[in-house]
Amino acid sequence: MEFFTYFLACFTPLKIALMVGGAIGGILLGAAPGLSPTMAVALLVPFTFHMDPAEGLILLGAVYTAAVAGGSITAILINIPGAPANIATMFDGHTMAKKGKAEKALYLSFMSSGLGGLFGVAVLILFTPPIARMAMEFGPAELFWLAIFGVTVIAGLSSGTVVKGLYAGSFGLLLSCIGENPVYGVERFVFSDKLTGGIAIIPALIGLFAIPQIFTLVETIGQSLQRESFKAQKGVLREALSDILRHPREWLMGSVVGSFIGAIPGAGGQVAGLIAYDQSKKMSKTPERFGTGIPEGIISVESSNNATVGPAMIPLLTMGIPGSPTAAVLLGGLLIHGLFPGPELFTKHPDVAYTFIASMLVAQVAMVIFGIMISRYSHIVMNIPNIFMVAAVTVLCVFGSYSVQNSMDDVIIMFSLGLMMYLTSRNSFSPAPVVLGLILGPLAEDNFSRGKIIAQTDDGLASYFLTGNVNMIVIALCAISIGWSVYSEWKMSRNNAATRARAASNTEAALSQA
Amino acid sequence: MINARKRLLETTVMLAIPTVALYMLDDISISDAKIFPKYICYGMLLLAAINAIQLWAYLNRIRPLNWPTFLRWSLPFKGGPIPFPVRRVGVSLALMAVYIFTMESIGFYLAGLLFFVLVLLALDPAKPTPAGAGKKVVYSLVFMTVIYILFSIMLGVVIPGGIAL
Repeated sequence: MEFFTYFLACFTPLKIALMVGGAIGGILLGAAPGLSPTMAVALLVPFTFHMDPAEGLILLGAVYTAAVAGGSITAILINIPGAPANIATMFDGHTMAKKGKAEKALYLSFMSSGLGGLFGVAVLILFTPPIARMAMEFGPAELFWLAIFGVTVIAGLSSGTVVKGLYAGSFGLLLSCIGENPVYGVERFVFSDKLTGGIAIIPALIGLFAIPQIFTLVETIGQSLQRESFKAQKGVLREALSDILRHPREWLMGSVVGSFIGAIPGAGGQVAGLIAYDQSKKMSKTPERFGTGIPEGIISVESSNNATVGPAMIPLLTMGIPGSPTAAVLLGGLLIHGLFPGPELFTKHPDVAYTFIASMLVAQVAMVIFGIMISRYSHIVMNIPNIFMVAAVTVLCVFGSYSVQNSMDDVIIMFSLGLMMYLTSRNSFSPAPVVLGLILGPLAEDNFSRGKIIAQTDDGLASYFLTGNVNMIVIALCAISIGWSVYSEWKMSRNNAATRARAASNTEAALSQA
Repeated sequence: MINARKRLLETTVMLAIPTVALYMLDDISISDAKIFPKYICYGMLLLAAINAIQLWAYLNRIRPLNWPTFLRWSLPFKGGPIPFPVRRVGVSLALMAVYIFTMESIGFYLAGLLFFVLVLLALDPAKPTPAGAGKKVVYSLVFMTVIYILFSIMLGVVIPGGIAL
């Protein structure tokens, strides 16, 4: 009931303007070369610092939703996914564009994204309050293990190897210890005056996500891409709409898969898109048509990747555990306003929590309307040369980092962390675990210290942290997430070795025949 | 061979970070304040050790090794499937560093404008022409005007003027 009160509160002129602006900006940022949804949201976080918390989150949520959908524009028109979530969109989207039906592919993509997104937000609305109530019962030990789970799950899934992912997550936790310890007032790892106040989250987020991307853009300057363009035709929108209505199984299945996978921390839109595509193909009576540019391929993928957006917020809003790198950046958006997500967010700041959720619902509709309206002009954004993106994003990074605390130290920290991330990304390290470690570090340390004090008056540290149902479940989840990542890595290396061996034997056979 | 060198450097850095961090923690007198980072460092050392074992297995797999080449350290990116644009990345890095370290003294907006123009001129693979350069200056001015409106007028951020204002 509370939700409906705040749903109506979304319809003030300023909030509608933010949702529409966020949706348009998100689509354009998603279509811009080299800008991922995570980076787009990271660059926008400093702007929200000067806004009301609910309004800031409305803007970020709208941009996030629309940027995921906007990523399909590049996947369809230039066969490069705007975000990992759009990988499977290329299979049928680009093939359809090559057949001269780019406009229809884009309309299908936005409509199914909207349907999936609405489904995902409905899941978020239904499941968030009961999970938040359950999380109210958690003590320091449970919260400590939840923070560790948040780091392990992203670490296991987003880097080149599990070891590197976990190391990056631990490095993030270590970075969070820099500066003065709030409990004991002791300085730790302060080897420069610039680090006295610790590492601020927003400059770190911007540096870790944006600077490596800037250098990647520098590397690709001058590379030309084959682009598919289109002239607007009459009746295509109606045709796309009837395709959506004729394939309810695809978007419903995509939405269910996306919602389920989105709620699992770390899994994300990429996995959802690929699974939904695979399932649609398996369930189809004509699986051989998949990959030849059919609507079913686009509908299933796009409904699933946008359906992950809402459920990815469930662990973030209820327990403070971001389910995806973009959710981690959104967490940064909450933290700069002094709000820490968790069950108390719904009791102490219901206006912020419920308005944000409600706005995501409205943002989906705005995304579909404006996506259809502006997708025909998306080639203008896509044609921006990388060189302009390099200069513009660098200046935005610098101004954004500075504006949070009006501190030059933040700019230098942003640049140093970004440069370090760029160098390490060449060795398959990913920024997401570092960011997660940095964000969840204070939560983990604070609850560890509190738990230690309680344990000293009780049966000891091991007994306090390693007993209790919730503790054991979360520890088991940590072990499963690491174990599953190790197994996947082993399976992938075994498959790669088999492929290499097959290729070698084929070459040998060809040579002996010659 | 380059991969082996890259991985050797990576493992060394992975071992060095927690070792240095543990050394730095020694100076802290309150033991409770160093427990959490200490546990993290132990975890990182364990992960670095696993990475070292993986490296050892990898080196054994790619035998025979020409060990003396390991002593000749080179840029870790050289020799990849696509030639690494060392000059372009080096120039952009230098421009960024100069921009960030001089912006406070010459002013955020002027430094931003100069950086924007220099990036467009220095990194463009096309042959420079006076008309092209003029266009780039105009684009830079337009972008910096948008930034000024956004930060100074709409958000009210106090931006250091430096010598420019």
